[in-house]
Amino acid sequence: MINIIKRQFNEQKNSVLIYLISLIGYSLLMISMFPQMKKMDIEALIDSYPEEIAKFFGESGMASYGTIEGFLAMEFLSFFFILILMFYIGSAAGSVIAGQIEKKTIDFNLSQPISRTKIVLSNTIIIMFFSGALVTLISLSIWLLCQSYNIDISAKGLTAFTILATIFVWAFYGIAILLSSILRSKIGVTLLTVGFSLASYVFLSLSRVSDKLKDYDRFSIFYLYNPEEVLKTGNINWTHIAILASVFIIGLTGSIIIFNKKDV
Amino acid sequence: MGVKNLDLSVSEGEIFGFIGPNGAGKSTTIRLLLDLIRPTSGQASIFGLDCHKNTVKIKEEIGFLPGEIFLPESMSGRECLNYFKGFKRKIDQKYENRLVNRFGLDLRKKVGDYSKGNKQKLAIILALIHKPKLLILDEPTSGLDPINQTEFYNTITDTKKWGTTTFFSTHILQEAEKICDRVGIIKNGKLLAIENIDDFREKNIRTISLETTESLPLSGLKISGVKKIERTTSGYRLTTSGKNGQILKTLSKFRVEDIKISEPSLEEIFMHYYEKHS
Repeated sequence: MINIIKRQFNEQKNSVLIYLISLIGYSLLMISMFPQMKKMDIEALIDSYPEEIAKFFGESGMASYGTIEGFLAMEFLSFFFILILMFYIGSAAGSVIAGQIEKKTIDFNLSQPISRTKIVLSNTIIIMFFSGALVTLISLSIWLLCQSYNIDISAKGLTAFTILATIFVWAFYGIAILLSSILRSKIGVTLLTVGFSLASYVFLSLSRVSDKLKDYDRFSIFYLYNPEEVLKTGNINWTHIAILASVFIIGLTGSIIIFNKKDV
Repeated sequence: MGVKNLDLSVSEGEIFGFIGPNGAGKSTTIRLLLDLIRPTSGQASIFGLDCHKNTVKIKEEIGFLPGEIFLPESMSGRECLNYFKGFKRKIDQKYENRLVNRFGLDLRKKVGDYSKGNKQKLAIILALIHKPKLLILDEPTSGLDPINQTEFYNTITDTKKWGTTTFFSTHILQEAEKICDRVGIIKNGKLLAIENIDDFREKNIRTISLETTESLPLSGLKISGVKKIERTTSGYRLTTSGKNGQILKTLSKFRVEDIKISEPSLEEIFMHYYEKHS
């Protein structure tokens, strides 16, 4: 297992670094914009938009723009941050099974004395580590950048957000690795993972706008992920965490069962 | 291609050639042995252990060379070697160096920059590096030049010294004749015959092409040892088995302008076995 973990670490470290630099760059852009944003007359802006658009921005509406937590949640952490991480998660999970079948490297790997379960778990360890590290380092950079711009942001809130976002991303990994065990194309896994996150986010947003859909917002996985509230209160909804952890465990277990039965 | 009712056993220390045309079921058999695919019924075993239930334990003692080599392209040859060595229990460093020198492989290059032949060499080294008890080779010389083919045959023969059993698939008849102790002949997923290599050589299946402008009497060509007679644009083609002396003596009675004796295609050999066993 160790050699797989070492190899995956070496193979992924550069791409993870690029994701990290890009996300830190975007955080810097957002945080540097916030002081200007705060000076704007948000109330007037709210009044100038139709009610539906205001609803689209969530329960607290566009008033959230007045706080760093709300502003970061709206502009970065609610979706864009997750979307970028989905590309990493989808692509990394896609490489574990589907990508190996596609590239035909699986024959040689499976001829080695290691079980299919251990192959999936070794890769999972490294993907969990890198995705967790990405979320943690972005949270840390947000805190440092806020300090440098003299913007108050709660460390407790950021810590709670780090936990929630990490588990949220791992839940998507559970879905992605399950897809990887079913499909035979890495790009297919990546696109479906990204597509699912996009569709889920759009569905939640529509459920806020449409009266017909408002009772169905729980069907979106993004219902379990509310960065603004977590950043502001520092409180974690442990039921949501448990549901997300279950998605991860079910997806991972399902992928191991399917992969172990699969003819390659 | 699936395999049906395939029942064969390979003894410890022997080199067993699995001969068949493309699509005969050779690779499918190998994939079953390696637990890459599962049988719809029946079971395969290696070292007396079930290939599915004990796959990890079995693979500790197996060296595998796939038909098509797909190794991690971003790694250098050395990194690739070290990565796969990480799965093995014990490595004889001297033997590793000897293999690398024998095949003259530059391990500093990226695997992605290797030619097909060099990838094949690296895969051969990876299959042999831990001195496995069983070598499973799928079309092992397809990418090698004649010099490296000879090195490969010598390397495989050397492994017999420490009792390695070799099971390898090929569609090259001379390759099987050169190094195998026994051969199994497979076609359309069915095992047609298992032959001791000496008996196989004894059969001496050959094709005799006769160039003539005359029409020869078919009855005259029906000589003992002639298995098949075909009319060609320039004369006749006979598929024969056994010693050719009597056949040549009979043919000398006819006016033949040219005669060529060649090894028949695998297809013709399979037809020979197919007719025999059907």
